[in-house]
Amino acid sequence: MTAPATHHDVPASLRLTWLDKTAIVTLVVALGLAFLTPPEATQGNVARLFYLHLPTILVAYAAFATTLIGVVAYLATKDLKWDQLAGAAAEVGVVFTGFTIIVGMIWAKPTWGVYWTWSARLTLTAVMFFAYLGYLALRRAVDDPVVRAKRSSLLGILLIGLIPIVHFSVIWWRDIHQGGTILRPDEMQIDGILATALLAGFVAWSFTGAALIRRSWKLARLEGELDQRLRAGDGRVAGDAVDTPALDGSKDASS
Amino acid sequence: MNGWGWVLWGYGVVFFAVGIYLWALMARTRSVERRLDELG
Repeated sequence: MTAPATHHDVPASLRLTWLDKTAIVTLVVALGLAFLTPPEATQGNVARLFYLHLPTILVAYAAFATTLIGVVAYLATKDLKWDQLAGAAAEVGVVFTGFTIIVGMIWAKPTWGVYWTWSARLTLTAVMFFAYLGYLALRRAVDDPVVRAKRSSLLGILLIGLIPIVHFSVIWWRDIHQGGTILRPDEMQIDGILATALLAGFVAWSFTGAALIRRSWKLARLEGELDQRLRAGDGRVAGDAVDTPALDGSKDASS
Repeated sequence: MNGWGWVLWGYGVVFFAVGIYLWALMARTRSVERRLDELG
């Protein structure tokens, strides 16, 4: 007779942590506020995309900053888990930059009349997206974990310079994109209840980003462990799964 | 399409993408966990 299923039967990878649960609850609150606040005075309802567009790029910046933290911690300690954090955070940063670009395009069509224009802010955001995709590609191109960590650390340090260029591009160059709303040299440019919805969006997407980085980092550490064990000859790799055919009529060439 | 239509598109695409990414992370993690279990 089989025992009834308990939560112990659920694999660790599928269990929800407190971070996952906090992300879900804050996302529901943020979604409610984004949809229930009054429409913005000049753009109307379409400005509700702002509560998604701005938080996702701020979380992307934070994820890329986490990559830099991982790189610095790796270079200081030579512990590969920090390099794995750098890679995991970069992956989530790329995903969130992609969200910002897609939501920005969906917002641009009804407000600017086009999905895309080659303004400084948009172009530089696209450059940042593809540069970090390059970082992820570099990580996949190197098999040896130590060589991978060294090479990607160099790129991880260089790429962080893109963030201030992307962020201040709307101040440095003339741009169709609006200027800063929150992180700007003078005062904030958003009104009470709308600021609350924006803050809720920022909290929710921060927890979501952190939860995704935690999962991605966990996966990277497990992949590192598996790679290490396969390298140490613990278990046969896929290519060794078929025994070498014997030419002299015996059953197994290795015996 | 009115303002709400664009808003639903934006939120819909992002929430769908988060779901797919989370599912992919969980599936990849489960797969590696199984390989490690097989190795003992």
